[in-house]
Amino acid sequence: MLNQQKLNELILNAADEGIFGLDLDGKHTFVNPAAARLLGFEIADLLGKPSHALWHHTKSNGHTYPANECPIYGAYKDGRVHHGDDEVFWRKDGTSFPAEYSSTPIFNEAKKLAGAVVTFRDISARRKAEQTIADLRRQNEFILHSAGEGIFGLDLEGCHTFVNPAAASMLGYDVQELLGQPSHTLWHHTKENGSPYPQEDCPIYGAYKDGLVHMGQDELFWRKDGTSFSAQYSSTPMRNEQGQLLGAVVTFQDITERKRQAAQLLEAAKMAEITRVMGNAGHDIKNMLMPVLTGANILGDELKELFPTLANSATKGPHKSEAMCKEVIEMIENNARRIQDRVREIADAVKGVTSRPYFAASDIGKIVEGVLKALQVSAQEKGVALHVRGMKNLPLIHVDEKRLFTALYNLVGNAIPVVPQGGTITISGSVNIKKDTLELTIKDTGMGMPPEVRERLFTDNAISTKAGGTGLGSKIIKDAIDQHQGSITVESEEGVGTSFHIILPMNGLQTPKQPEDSQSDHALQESMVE
Amino acid sequence: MTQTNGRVMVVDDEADVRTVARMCLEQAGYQVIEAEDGEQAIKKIKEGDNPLVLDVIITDINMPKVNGLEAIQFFQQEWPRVPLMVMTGYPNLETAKELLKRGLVDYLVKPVDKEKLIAAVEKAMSQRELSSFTN
Repeated sequence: MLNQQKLNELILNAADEGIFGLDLDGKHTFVNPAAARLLGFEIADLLGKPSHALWHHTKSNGHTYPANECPIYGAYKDGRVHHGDDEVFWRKDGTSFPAEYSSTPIFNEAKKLAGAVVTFRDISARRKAEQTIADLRRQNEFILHSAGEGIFGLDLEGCHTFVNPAAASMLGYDVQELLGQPSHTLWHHTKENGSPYPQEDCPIYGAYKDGLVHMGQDELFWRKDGTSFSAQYSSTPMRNEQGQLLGAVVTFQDITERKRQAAQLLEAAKMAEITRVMGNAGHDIKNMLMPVLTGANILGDELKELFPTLANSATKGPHKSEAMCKEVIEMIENNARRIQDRVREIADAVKGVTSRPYFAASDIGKIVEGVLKALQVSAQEKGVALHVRGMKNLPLIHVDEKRLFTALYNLVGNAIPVVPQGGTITISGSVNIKKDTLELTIKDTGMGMPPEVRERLFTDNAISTKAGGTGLGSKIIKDAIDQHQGSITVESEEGVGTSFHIILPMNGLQTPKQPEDSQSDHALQESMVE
Repeated sequence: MTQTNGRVMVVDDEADVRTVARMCLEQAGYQVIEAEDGEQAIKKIKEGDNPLVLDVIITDINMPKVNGLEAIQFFQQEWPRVPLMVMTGYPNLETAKELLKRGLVDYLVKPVDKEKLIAAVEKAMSQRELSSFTN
């Protein structure tokens, strides 16, 4: 049988931990193989040598470690056990490792301090693992902090266990205000229709009831100040290693802006569809008007030839019949033209709203000339004279020719029917150098406007003085002038006439040069408005 | 055979439009041949023992089968001297510019009244005479 001493020796030799015996001077009295191996010494190198000076002389920060501060020495100074796990031990080759140690005092038979036993181990691997965990935690925290989405951790009661800054800021709280507080009653209590949102129905809570991921596509989250926003969220159950539910992680986004953009796109799509349908309808109507209008023309001419031949043979008064036919045909022709005008107005109004403005240096005189040419026939029929004044020397300015043409066409076109026979419509132009503006005046000798019509002119509530008018013309004009950052005003006296004043900004004079191709474009546009 | 001022082809998919155009022009002393679309127009001109001799062609643009633009290209290749004009309810400034550049004599926007239609055909006829003069 082994004696006790031999047994002890075997244990010391087999131990994985380093074990030293130290005397009261701190010199090694015994050293086990593990201790020597860990420090890179031979056992013989250590025995009888001072421990502190050999492998504990310097702190991990590079500073000298005075022996009197050392807890290992402390053990046989104060007779108590000392521990350390944040120090380094130095190897023979000058390298070091983080060590965890304990230093236990030894007493002799007389119960006097005789030295200490030091056990220690290399904890590099543990330190490394700890470092990795710390790095991971920092990384996770960084992700949580920098995420644009709101992220909550909830326990099984639905109280916040963590809150990232985005979540807190979207809800108008500080992070600290939310931690430990119940989530549902704080910011998910009421539905969009104003009715209360029972916690049992909430998909967020669902996640840690059934252990499945739950989503909300569009629900209201409530801010601290009582306002709310539309949120999209997912609630994912959180489990421990044993698979037990611990709570849920909720991530969410404020989708207000996304919803607004989607609504805007839908609105634009609807608008495009309306425009398309109206455009097609307008073209169809113009197509259908051709047989009506031209048919009436033909009928008129036929009857003109027919009636004189009936003059002698008819029993009933052919004159009466002829007058009636003439009246009906004129009525058809007039109304066909009015439908045509109205369709054009609608098309212009739609274009004014939907098409992109195109600005180019333009000769206002040419545009006015084009408008008057296009309206000449109807003015002649009505016995109204169209005049221009001061158009020759106007500078080129940046305008959208099509829109300005349409605006002036409507302005003059609307004036013609209300000017009595023998009256005039005069368009004059001038430049106001001081204000850097070009000014147009359209003055007629018509019947003038009653105040209620004048006041509502160029508003959405404009009323038309023409029978069956929609007031659309006024909107077309106003929209076009607005797009030029210009202004239009009206003076009108009943029984005397009306003057429109259009002021267009010049934004600096253009060099008087002929814009390319404008001549033929005008000619075309003149023919195409009809 | 009665004397006519000229022979005009009207290409339009709408029967009523063709009818009123024919009536207008007949009242003004023209002979009118109708076609529903480009394909029929080409067929009517080419087929038969005596290929038709035309003085003016008036065509719509938006038509089924061979549309007006394709037909115009064909007419211009086959009968470069016959004056062409467009009569459409769907005016487009860019198309109009392009076509006039390509030698079309007129671009009419529906509805076209009798007076205007006859005036346009008369203008086309005078151009035709002018071009036959110089050739």
